[in-house]
Amino acid sequence: MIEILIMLAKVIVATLFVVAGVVPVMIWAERRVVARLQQRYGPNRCGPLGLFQPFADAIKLAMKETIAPLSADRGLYLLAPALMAVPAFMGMLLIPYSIGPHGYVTRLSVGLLLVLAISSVQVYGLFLSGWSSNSKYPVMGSLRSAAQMVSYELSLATVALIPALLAGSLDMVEIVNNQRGGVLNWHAMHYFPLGLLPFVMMVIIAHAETNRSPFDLPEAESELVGGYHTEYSSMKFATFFMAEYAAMWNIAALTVALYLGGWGGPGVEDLYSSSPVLGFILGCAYFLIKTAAFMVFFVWVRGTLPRLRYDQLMSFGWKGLLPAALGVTLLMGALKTFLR
Amino acid sequence: MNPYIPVLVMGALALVVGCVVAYGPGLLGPKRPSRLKQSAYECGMEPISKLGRRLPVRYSLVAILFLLFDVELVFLFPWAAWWGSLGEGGTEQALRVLGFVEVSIFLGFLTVGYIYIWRRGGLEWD
Repeated sequence: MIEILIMLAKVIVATLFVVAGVVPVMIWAERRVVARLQQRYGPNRCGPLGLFQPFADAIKLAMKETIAPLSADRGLYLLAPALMAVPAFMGMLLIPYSIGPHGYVTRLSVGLLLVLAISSVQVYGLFLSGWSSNSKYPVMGSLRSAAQMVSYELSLATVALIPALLAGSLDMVEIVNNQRGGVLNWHAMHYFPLGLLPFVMMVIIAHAETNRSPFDLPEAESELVGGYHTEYSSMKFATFFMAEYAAMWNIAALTVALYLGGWGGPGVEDLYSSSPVLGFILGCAYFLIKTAAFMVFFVWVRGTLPRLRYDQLMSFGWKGLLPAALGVTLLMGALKTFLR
Repeated sequence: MNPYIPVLVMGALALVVGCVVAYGPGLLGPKRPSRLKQSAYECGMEPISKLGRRLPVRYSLVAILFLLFDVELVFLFPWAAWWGSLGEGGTEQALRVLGFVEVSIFLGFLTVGYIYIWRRGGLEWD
């Protein structure tokens, strides 16, 4: 009974943390940070430092009229936002966020595969939203983004495989535990400097998979109006944004778990052995700090780099990243086989 | 407890939250539909051509290539997971080398196909 209650509590906290914690903070933080990078003020009128801006936005959007084009494929058009949101809100399911038996929602022997499987479901929501709108710009946007996500998913799966190879397990908890004991044990630092290669690739792929700048072709405002969600309004439109921020968080958390030691940091294990609660909290804090830093990096990149052209994007994915990722996998396999 | 139960529970919760966020506020806003509002977006004009369901063939090529390489990746995952079950002894080292050689041969075949696709222009975007 207690076991079921703890499980329910973890599931609810993990879901609501992403939906009601990460998303509003990111909406605010992205606008503030981008404003700083562009030497503007950003939102600073709603509440202290503009902190209430996301809530003002949400209330405004919720009170707007829902407009659907008559040409839309009604069922799929309505289904698409939910299909996009569900995998995004499930992101924390298998990522270990702290030390000990309560440091993860659940652990599976095929954890990494399931993480990749859940994240790839988003392509359906994204594609169906544009396809069912039956309107030019959304169809073009969704085709582009489906092709982009699918292409970079190959490299993502390959690069995500390398930590599993180093840890010898697909269980996310095992993968994080394999990185215990200091920065030098992080998978990004394995076989220094070779371990940095897949890590850097992972960071690039994270941007492409979440359709972030400089790979934000699906939303290229200047050519495609808004991309796949052009025909959506009110909170259905906002759902896409929430799902995108949640997906950013998920892939940042995945990168931290795979390459940057997850919850690992100075003092977690010592503190955990003397006081489990404090050690657990410190582990959570390290995990949150690392992931939040990655999120800020997303915004920093957006403020710095110009957008790629579509053919550059595709040829970079297929001719650059994919062979490089496969090569690095083989290299890591060789190092692990012969160097020990 | 079966570790797959939280997967289902979290899926159900995410579905509920997603539906509430996406569909709930639809009840709040005004509803004054008009023909102009409900037309497809076309910079304020009536769309002159119906959108045919004809797509550039490039995209289906991407889909086929994706399937090919994704299936190939599925074969690499067991190889990665297999390391944890091996010990330190000499036979195990021999097994490791064998596994590595097998994966190299597998990826070698794949590389031949990849080079073929590249040379035939399968990866070009015009």
